[in-house]
Amino acid sequence: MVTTVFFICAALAIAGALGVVSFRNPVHSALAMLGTMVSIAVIYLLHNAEFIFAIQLMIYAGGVMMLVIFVIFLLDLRREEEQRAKLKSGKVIAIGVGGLVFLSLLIPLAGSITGKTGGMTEKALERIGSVEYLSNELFTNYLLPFELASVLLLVGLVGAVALAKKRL
Amino acid sequence: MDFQLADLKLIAPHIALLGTALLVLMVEVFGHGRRRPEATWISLLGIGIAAAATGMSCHENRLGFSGMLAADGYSAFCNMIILIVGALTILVSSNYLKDERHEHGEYHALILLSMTGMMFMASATHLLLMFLALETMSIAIYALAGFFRTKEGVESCFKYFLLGAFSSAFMLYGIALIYGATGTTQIHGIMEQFTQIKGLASSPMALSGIALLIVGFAFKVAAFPFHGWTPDVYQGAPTSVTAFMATGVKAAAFAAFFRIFFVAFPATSPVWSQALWLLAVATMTMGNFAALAQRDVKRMLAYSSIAHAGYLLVGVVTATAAAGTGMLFYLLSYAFMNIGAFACVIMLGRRGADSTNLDDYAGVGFKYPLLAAALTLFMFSMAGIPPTAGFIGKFLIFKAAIGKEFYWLAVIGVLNSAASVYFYLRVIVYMYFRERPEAAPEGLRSGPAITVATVVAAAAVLILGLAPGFVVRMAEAAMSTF
Amino acid sequence: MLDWIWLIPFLPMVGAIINGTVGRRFPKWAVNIIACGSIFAAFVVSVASFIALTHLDPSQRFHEVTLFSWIATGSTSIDLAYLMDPLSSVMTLIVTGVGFLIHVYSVGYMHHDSSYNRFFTYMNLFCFAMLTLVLGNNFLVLFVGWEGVGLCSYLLIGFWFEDQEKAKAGMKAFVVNRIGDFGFLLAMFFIFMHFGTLNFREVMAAAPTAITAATATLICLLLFLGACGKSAQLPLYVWLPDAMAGPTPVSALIHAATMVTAGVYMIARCNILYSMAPGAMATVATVGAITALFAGTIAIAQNDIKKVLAYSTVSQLGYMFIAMGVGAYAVGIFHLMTHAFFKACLFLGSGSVIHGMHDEQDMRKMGNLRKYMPHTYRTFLIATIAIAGIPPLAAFFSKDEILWMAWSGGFKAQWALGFLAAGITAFYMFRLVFMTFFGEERHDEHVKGKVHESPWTMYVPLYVLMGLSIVGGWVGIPEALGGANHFHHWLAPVLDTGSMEGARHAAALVGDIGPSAAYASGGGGGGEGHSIIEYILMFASVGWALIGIAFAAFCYLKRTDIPAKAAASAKGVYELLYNKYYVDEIYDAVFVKGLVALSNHFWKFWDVVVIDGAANGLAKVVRATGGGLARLQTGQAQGYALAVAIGTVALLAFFAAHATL
Repeated sequence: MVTTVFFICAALAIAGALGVVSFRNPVHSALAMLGTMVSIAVIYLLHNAEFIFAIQLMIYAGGVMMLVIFVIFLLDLRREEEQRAKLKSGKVIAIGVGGLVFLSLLIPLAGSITGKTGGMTEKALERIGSVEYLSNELFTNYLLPFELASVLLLVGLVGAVALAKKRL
Repeated sequence: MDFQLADLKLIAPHIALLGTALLVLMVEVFGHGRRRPEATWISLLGIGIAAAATGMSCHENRLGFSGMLAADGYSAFCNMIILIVGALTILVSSNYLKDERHEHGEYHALILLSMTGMMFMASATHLLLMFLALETMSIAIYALAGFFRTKEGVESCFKYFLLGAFSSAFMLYGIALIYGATGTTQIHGIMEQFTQIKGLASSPMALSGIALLIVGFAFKVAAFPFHGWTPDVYQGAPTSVTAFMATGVKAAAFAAFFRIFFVAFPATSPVWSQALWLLAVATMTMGNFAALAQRDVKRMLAYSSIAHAGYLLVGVVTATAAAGTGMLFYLLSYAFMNIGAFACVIMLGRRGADSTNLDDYAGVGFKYPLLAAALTLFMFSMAGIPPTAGFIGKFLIFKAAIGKEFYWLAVIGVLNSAASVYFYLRVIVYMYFRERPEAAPEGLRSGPAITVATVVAAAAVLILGLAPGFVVRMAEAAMSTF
Repeated sequence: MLDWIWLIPFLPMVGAIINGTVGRRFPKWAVNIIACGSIFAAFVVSVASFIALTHLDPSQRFHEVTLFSWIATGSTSIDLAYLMDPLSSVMTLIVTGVGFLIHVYSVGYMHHDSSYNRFFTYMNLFCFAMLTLVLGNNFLVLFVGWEGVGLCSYLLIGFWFEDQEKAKAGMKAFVVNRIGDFGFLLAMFFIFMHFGTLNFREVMAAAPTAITAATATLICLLLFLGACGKSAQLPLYVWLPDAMAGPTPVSALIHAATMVTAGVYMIARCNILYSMAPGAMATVATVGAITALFAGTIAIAQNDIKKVLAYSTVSQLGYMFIAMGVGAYAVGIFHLMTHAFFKACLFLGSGSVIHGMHDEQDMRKMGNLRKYMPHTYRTFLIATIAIAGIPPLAAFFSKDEILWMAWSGGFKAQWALGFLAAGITAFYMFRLVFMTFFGEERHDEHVKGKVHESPWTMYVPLYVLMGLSIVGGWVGIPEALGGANHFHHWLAPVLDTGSMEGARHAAALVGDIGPSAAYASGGGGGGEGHSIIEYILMFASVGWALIGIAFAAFCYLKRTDIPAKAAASAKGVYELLYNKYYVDEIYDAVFVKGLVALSNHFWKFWDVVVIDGAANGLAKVVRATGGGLARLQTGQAQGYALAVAIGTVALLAFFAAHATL
């Protein structure tokens, strides 16, 4: 049952991702992205990560997608013009190389040696997914990356302002 | 392993920089509307404090924050390089920003924030922290590249951002694979797993992870074939930012690259050193070859920086303490000579017109003898002619390579550096052996700050070339703390 | 006294610093005193240290002075240190002595030049670098001097930068030299790897036990590549003739007497390594012999007075390398010294001619100058007799001994080439003398009646050098001629160790004959009986030189129509020689144009075809971001991304190939 749901969600996520790049209407693309976000959220849930599931829904599917759609409407982006004629060779190259990258990223899955196998048991997953565990880790062992992530956000903010503001 | 207050001491330099960045932003906000030169001085002060803090924390020599980062001699040395790069960049920028009418505190704040990221990269002993630091550094740089909002600037910013995100994704996937294979992302832990688990060193998952990590680093240091963005971005970005990118990003990326591969992956070194061997050879050859064809000095320096990445990769391929020493020394001398060269480029430019074509350098030697002398010195240093810093750096790296029997690598490296003389020399030929055109603009875009930076860089290039003993010993001591 | 040897290089440097910084404001006489005075002071110190050395026991004749520790770390220790021993002593005396004379000469020659102080700054700087080169006690200090002289030579060749050709010549010199430096650097790395030190004395002491013959051969061949670049041997000689673009005193000092002999000095310094590497020695001797003949033949057809001298220098350097290759190191240094005397005299003489002829360098427009320039004529003629190898002038002793060493060491082919070149030397040098100083006046209209002798500052050095060209060879008169061969005995502590062993193997290797008994008798100058062959060869080469002179006299004095007829009847050969075997053109086509074209193609292929091509094919997908960004050339970015993707695939594939399932 879990496996079935996983594969359905995974397929949906990939389909959504493909939709993002192939739809001509930006709004459709945004909606496809929403589908991907939600599918991924469900996959988190399947791995007992309830907290991350909730965050994924709220922040990405909720906040971020909202902003994206807002921007699309605000800038009144129209359908991309038809450019099919001159794209052919490029598309072939892109699809070819993309396929190669995809195949080469499958290499790690060959063979079964993963070294650590015992860590992620059903029971451990149950523990790891909880908010308590997560917060405990975040504020002790992973404190420094957690704080650095906030610096990262600050940098993004300052950078965006510096680039976008009309007159500094 | 819990958080301890004492660990804060380990990141005192980083905190100092971060605090200074915030202070600069505040000053900018409250000094609304006026041109505020104090951003320069505040930044320099903050860098000074960070340097002092680095000096104090370098004897700690331990891991902190649950093994996230190390405050050892190696971090301290890299921090110092980054702080020197930052200080020189800010000095070089001072007059340039004013002249280009972009004298904003955000610029300094972004430089400082980017330096914070660089310093975390250099001291990170955990792949996750390293990745976050790398992103912090990169995002600040993306913004800086487009800071002047010229067409070329924004274009380069955008290209760099797109490709950077692309390669970061590969790197992140690599980290995930390494976690999958070893169950940890702490580099000492990874090393232990490799020694404990038989067959891990040849598992597809672990090896793919390492390959993807290389992709990420190779992109940041501009190694072939991940270098495509370099010339466009270097040419399009503000010159001071180009100087910062070429030296700071390289220093931080190589620092992290070397530490991770030296500590975590010795078990697989036969494989990755072969791959990096090819990468190093292709990078230096490609960089030098392409530089031969350039007539724009900024673009030539961009390709030359690719070539230098190739020489530095020789250090990572060799991966011995001696190679590390050479690499650290090289990064430091490269910081001086490259920022110095870009400072000269800035001084010869005009507002809105960088004048970086070779023809703009005709006759400079007699019009501005001191500037030309400095630029000549930097060019000689980049070409690796004694007694300059660049020569000692190459000497140490190639010596280490031969010491570990990478003969052909050293041969190709030396051959490359011999060929590179041609295009460095061409700048000098234009400066000294061509008439200055009548129409050439008068005056230099100079000021006290940029003069100080150039003089310091020139003096350092000479001192590191004539009496490198002290610094080499420090680099050796830094390597011994692993 | 020996503790003060660091003054020898530093005095000229002080001169350079003073003239370079504040010299512009000085009157000319002050610049002269600083420039010439500093070299003279260095000469005095050199003489004093030479005397101090003579008071020591021969085995103790060395002294090292460490200025400071350059690179001193746990694994590496390299000092900035100077070494005074018989070999460096000879070299410093040549550099400071001849250097001083050339400085004095330059006072007159450069009198009218506007960049007077700049010229002397570079000259002093050159002397500093050259003295550092010959005094350094390890390979790295030598290399610093090596690069330093290259840089100064570059600055001085391009001294009159108004002329594009001259700037180009300087660039050529520098780039060709870098090819040589590549070999030198690699050799240095290998030496450091095997010995753990770069100190000459330590390396030479450890060499016989520390490395195998194969390693020694590799190191020596790499060092020889460096020597080929600096000392203008085949195939890297091309820069030297072009270097004649510089002022004539520069040609005399750098491109005849001192810098170009650095390669010879370096091989002599490493004689123990070479003696362990017969293959390398055979290569050195062969390259030297071919160069000697090759350059000599080119000189026959040149009309530019300085070009003739330049090819003659290349040819003479070839002799020195023959000496090095056959293990007769001391003889090579001996020829280096005599060559410094007579070639400096010749170059300065040609400078005097050019000066008197108002910058005319074409010999076809000279003639009968002995009437106008008696001092120049006299000194030039004596130096020409010296280079032709007529006894008892300098080159007779040195050149003849080289040829004898080659013969007796079993290098018959090399001997034959050298012997052939000797006669040609006599011919083209006397051709030069006859065309310039004899015959009818073919002067241009604008110089007619204005030809004048040079001032005393110019001809006094000429007389001194002339004197040295006469007596300079007498310090090394071989025992076969009843001399005491002081020169060899002086150098013996540095150069005689093991030289014969290697030479014998080398001779066996070139396959001419096996180790010869005759060699031992002449080797190193210390022999028991003297082979009758030695005397026969001596007469043969003198006779051969006289034939060359007589032929030149016949062609250029008596039957002046012959050269033109000969050139017309053997047009192909003449064109070939006149155009210097087209080597420059070939190099230009293959290396310069080829490399630039390759670089351009490479760049275009990568950036334009791969990146842009792919990019144009790909869509401007990112248009959706709107506004200004839509107009950007995002296409390129896609091309770069493609490269990243392909690189990633390649890396993953590479790693996967090493994985086991």
